[in-house]
Amino acid sequence: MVAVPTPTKMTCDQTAQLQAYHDGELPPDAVAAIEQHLPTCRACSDVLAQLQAMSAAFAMSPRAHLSQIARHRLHNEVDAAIERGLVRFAWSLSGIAAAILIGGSVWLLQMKEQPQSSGAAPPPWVEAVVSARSTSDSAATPAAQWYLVDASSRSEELP
Amino acid sequence: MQATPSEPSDLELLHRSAAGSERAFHTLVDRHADRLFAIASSLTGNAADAEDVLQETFAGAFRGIKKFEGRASVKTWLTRILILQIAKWRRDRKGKQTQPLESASPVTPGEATTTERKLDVHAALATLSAEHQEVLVLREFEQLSYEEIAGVLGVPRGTVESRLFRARTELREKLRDYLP
Repeated sequence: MVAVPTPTKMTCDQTAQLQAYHDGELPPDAVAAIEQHLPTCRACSDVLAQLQAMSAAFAMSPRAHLSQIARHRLHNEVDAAIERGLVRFAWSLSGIAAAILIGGSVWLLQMKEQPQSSGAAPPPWVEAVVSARSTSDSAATPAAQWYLVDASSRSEELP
Repeated sequence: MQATPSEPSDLELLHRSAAGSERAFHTLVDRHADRLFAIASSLTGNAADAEDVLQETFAGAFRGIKKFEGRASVKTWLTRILILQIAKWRRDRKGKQTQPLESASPVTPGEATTTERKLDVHAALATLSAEHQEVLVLREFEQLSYEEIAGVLGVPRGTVESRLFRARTELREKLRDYLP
């Protein structure tokens, strides 16, 4: 028995399904469903035929080719880009080195200009050293106190 | 140009390039130049601009070589850079129109020879929006999958499907005299 094509109005969803079928993007079960449906639906068959004709037209269209001269120019430009990249990298390194040098010099100058009694808060590493020293001082406190008391009493005895 | 089993893969070449091998980068250029030039020609409509865009693409790829994360293939990554360069080219030439390779004048149907049919596709393509041109070129000329096109254009797969659907509907309308 020959199936009689029945013209039906296509919906966007069906056409989208046909497009995915045409592009080979449907899962196998959906492919089977479409292939079962196609012989019975004239509208879907027509849309599919148009999609195939459009793809065939694209496939037949000549594509531009890169000439040997253009390829040569491209490689030269790539070389130039590589060179620019290396120069930029070298400049970046120089910039970082210069920034460190300038920053260090400025800091040293500021340190020189600021006297110790200026009241400015010392850097954290100075505080750390001082607190370490005071801790060690406190460990020696009994002996030191005895010595100081002893020295002061002796000085009082002096005429 | 595809890598044969004895040749290094695109990814190997990219890693070598990132490590400083200029030779590896030139091999990568040779492998992808023709394909990218063909896409650029289809989307810019003229060889001179396509060549400029291609040069910018590889220069940009070299600059960003260390940013390649390997989430997409090297082919998709390069094609994405090309598409971004073409978008930049479109912005730059805003206002000044260049003549496309093929005349954009409508070709009369009826005695359509094979040659005329070929010209029609390019001419019809040139009348579409940039978005529609891109998706059609990537699908019809490059045969990229929906997933690959999504990666190149930086859009979800669903957007690729709907954009392709609208592009084909529009193109079908323009080519209706040639289609069954």
